Amino acid sequence: MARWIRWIASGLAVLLLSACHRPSFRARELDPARPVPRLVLSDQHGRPFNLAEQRGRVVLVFFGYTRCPDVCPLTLGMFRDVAKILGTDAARVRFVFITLDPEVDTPAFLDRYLRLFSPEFVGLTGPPHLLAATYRFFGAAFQKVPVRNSAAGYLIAHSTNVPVIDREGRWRLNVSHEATAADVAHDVRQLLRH
Amino acid sequence: MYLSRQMRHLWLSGAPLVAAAVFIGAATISGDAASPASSIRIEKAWARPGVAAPAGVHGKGTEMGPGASAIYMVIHNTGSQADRLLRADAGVAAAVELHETRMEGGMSRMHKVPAIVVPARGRAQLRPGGLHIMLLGLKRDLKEGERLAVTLHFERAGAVAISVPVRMSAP
Repeated sequence: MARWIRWIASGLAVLLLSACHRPSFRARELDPARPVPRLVLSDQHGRPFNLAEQRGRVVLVFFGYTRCPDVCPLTLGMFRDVAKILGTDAARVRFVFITLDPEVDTPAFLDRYLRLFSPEFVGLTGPPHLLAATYRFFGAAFQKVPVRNSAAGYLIAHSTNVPVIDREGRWRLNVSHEATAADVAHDVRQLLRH
Repeated sequence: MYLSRQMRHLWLSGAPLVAAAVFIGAATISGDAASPASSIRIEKAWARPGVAAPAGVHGKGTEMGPGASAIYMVIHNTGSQADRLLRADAGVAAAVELHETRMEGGMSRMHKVPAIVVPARGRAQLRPGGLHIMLLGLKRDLKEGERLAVTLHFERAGAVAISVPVRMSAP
């Protein structure tokens, strides 16, 4: 009797494993995945950072600016929760914030800003043509909008999705800014496994 | 400042009992407490952490430079007439404004709003992705766990002083 149960259980396990072979994602999957071109920006410490060459690591990318009070900190807070959920696996993930406002967001200021969330997060800036090429590749849309009668001067309207680069350096997923940390951690685990 | 003006006036008028009542009414609301003198009650207030702009750093077109934060809360109005939040003061920021974030065509956009209406026997929700009080030109860093003194100015209820905790997400 016990042997029968063991046979059935192992049969089910084989079925489940083959069903799990292809990862299923909660975020939108790009089909086909797009290899990330060589885009070398500089991080908050002035070190070069090539988005295409983080091989072996999953990279989550967010485009924002430090004066953004709302969606940007919301997303960086979500990144922090994802890192918490992943635990030791978070070491195999890069959380990257790319500025849309390089005139204001100096490397030193990016460093202080990102430390609010995690000293592990990467803040990227660079020369205008390289930033523009990066925005273009990932389809990051943004627009400087003057705000009337405001001390802010201008604010930046921007797209809010989070491109995810897999371990082979391919842009694989597009995460909505409304996704929960649990959803994103689920997808990152899939990418780390497959 | 509001408090001291109230107290000075009452000491001159020499009415200690009334003074005590108004003193309680005008005192800083901490957390979810209500002000008995007002039909406005503030609940679940919180502010995002933020970093002060380094001296001398200003981007083109930004009078205040970097260093921003936002305050969120639920404003309850127990009165029979609608009220409006007209402005807010916070010593920690060079400018405090009422803003709204809206998603339009897949983009997050912010607008400055002239006032926030709190309907009679209703509430106004200030939350991420919607209405918020924007702090511009932070004079110092706002760290998780500290509290900010903020005064809200309502059209009918007048000044309401609150103490806002700095947190990463809504309480």
